[in-house]
Order: sequence, then structure tokens, then C-alpha cells
Amino acid sequence: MSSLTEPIVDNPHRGLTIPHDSVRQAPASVMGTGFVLYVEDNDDLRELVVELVTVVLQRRCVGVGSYEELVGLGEEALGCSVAILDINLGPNRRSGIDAYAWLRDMGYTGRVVFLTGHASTHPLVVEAQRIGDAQILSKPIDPDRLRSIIERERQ
Amino acid sequence: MTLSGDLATRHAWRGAFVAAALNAAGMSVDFFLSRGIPTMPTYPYALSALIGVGLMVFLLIRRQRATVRLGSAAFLTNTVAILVALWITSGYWATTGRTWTPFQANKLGALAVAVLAPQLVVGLASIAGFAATAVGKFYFLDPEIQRGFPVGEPWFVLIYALFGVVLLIYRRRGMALEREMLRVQAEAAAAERLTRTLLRLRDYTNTPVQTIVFTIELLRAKTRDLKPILDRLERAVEKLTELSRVLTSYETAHKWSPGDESLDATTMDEQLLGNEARPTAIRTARQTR
Repeated sequence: MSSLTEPIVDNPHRGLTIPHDSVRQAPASVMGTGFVLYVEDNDDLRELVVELVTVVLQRRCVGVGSYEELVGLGEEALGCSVAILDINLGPNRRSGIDAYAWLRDMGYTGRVVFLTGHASTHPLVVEAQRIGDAQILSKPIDPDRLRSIIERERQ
Repeated sequence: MTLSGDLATRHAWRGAFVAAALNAAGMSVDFFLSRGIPTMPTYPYALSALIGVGLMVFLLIRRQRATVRLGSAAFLTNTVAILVALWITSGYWATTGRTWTPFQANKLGALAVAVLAPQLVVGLASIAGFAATAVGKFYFLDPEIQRGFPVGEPWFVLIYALFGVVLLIYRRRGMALEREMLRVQAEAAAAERLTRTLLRLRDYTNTPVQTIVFTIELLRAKTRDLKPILDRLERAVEKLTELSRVLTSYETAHKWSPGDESLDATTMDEQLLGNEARPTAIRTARQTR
């Protein structure tokens, strides 16, 4: 079991599907509260998505700009029903894959969607593709696609 | 040596320079070896060696403005100086009465040309010159001296000339192949750079395009008055998205190098827009927050 301060870079789970029975179970009180978690380093896009999801899709959305901010949310982050993660969170910064690993490590069992502007051959995207239980979408996606990602959780 | 970027020019300059250096050095040695011959004149050696040195100085001065033609002209001038010197001195060597291997310098020259000639025509002309002056000189000698020559002379020089021609053609074809390979490699490298730049450009624009797409949707939800404008904006975004899809086909052609993956917006601003773009970009970002 990794602690929150343990470097995810050295996490042996990285790049692999993490067996759920091997990680801590999130407290039942925070699971499935149904908000949308969005991790994106671009401020404009992050704030826009939060507003769009809130105003148009009528869902609560929490946006964070980095891995560190996500970790700062603590167990609150585990209450989301879908986590949309940007893969590249900036140069020399922890990536969306690190965010994924942290969520799974903390016992999050909900859906994860990677959203990336990079080519499918980009090393980080290739690494994300090795993760078996996360969907990868390329920017730009149309609003209907975003809606279907979120609505699917509601159904 | 020469600073010219053109491979043929570099070869021409270097070949002419080395030929001139060999002329200066060879003639000096030949003069040293001939010091036991009382009648041997000094001026052919001195003239040829001086021309060699002069050409070296000239080529060094012109090294930044070197051309194939310049290299060829220097090479031919050097060859003519050697041939004139050999024409004169070989007559004296032949008349010493000592054991002498005829036309050694001509034979050596024919082979050296194969290695150093800047152009095929210049090389062929120089080899022909070394062979022709040897054969011609033989027939200018007294018949009594001719009879003292080893069996087969002066025709052995033609065998050397033939080998020289074959080596010259072989070398020229090798150089052409080398140039072609370099050209193909340079083209491949340029294509790779272009692909990398295009893909980075695409990656760089995907997030802003995504922002526009979602902004349109949000504005549609907030007001119906802007529908015609938002429709036009949406069509424009579709074009941009189409462009992004076209560039996707180049993804497999690009091989990511270590460190490439860390390049993103900050680096892209500097690489694609230049340093001048940074203050504007930062100001824009601040204004939008």
C-alpha cells in the first residue's frame, strides 16, 4: 500500500491495471456521491468544463490543475463517479497517469477517462493505453461525447 | 579546411590542395635525389614546387569561396607544372648512364590523380597527360638511350594509366553514391523535423480548440441570440478538427526521442512563436484569469 507521499514514479503498479483487491477500499461514505472530477492543467479549459458540466449537464464538477491538488482533495476525490484526467499535466510535473495510479491506489473504483491532446504514439499516451480499465479520448471531443461520458455514469 | 557546405566543393578543394602539397614535397625530394647529376637543372624542380606552394596559399585564401571549378583549375595548373618539370628532368635522368627506372613519377602521378582529381574529366585529362608525356618523352630521346630502357618501357606507364582510370571512375561513382545517400538522409531528417513540428503544432492547438468547442456549447446553452454566430464558429472549429485528423496520419512516422514528451505549451511558445510571444501569451493568460 502506497502512502500519499510515496513517489508514484516508482510505483510498481504504474502502467498496469491495478487489481482492486490489492488496494485499500475507499470509505463507503464517500463512494458514489456522483460528481465529476476533472484534472486539467490548462486553467481556461478546466474552468470552462466545470461551468459547462454544472450549467448544461446539471452535475457537480470539481476541477483541479495538478496531481498535487488532486492529492490535496484527499478522500473527497474518491466520491466522484467519473474522473476525467488530462494525461500531460505540464513539463516536469506528475502526469494524469500518476493521478490515475493515486486514485486506484486509494481504492477508487469508478470510471476513469483520459483526455489528451497528444498523439497516440506519445510516450505518455502509450503508457496510458497499457492501463486496461481507462478509456482514452483525444482532444477535441464534441460536447455530446462529454455528455455521454457523464450521462453513462448517471444511468 | 574549406568551410563550404557542398560536398563536391569540399572534395575538389581538398584534392587540389593535397595535389599541390604533393607537388611541392615530391619535387623537393626529387631535386634532393638528383643532386649527384651535375648537369641537372634546378629550375624545373623549383618552378614546379613554387607553383605547388603558390596554389596551396591561393586555395587557403579562397577556402571560404571555394568552388568545384576553382579546385579543378588549381588541380590542372598543378598537373601541368608537374608534367613540364618531369618532361625536362626525365631527359637528364635518362642520360646519366646509371641504372634508372623510367618515368616513376609519371606512373605515381597517374595513380595519385585517381585519388585526388576533383572531376572525372579533369582526372582523365591529367592521367592522359602523365601517360602521354612519358611515352612522348621516350620518342624524343636518342635511339641509343631508348635501347637502354628496360624491356616493355615506356608502355608500362599505360598500364598504370589504365589502373588510374579504373580507380578514378570507381572513386567518382563512390562519391556520387555517398552524395546521394547524404541527400536522402538529409531529406529524411528534414521530413522527420517537419513531422515533429506539425505534430507538436497539432498537439499544441488541440487544447485551445477543445476550449472553443466547449465555449460554443456553453454559449448555446446560455443564449439563443448568438446561434448564427456560433454556427459559423462551429464550422470553423470543424475545419480545425479536420486538420488535426489529417495530421494524425503522420503519427506513426514520428519516433519520439527521450525528453520529447516533456515538451508542451511553454516550450512550444518559445519554439514556434519565439521569445517575443511569451509576454503577450502571459499577459493574455493573466487577463483571462
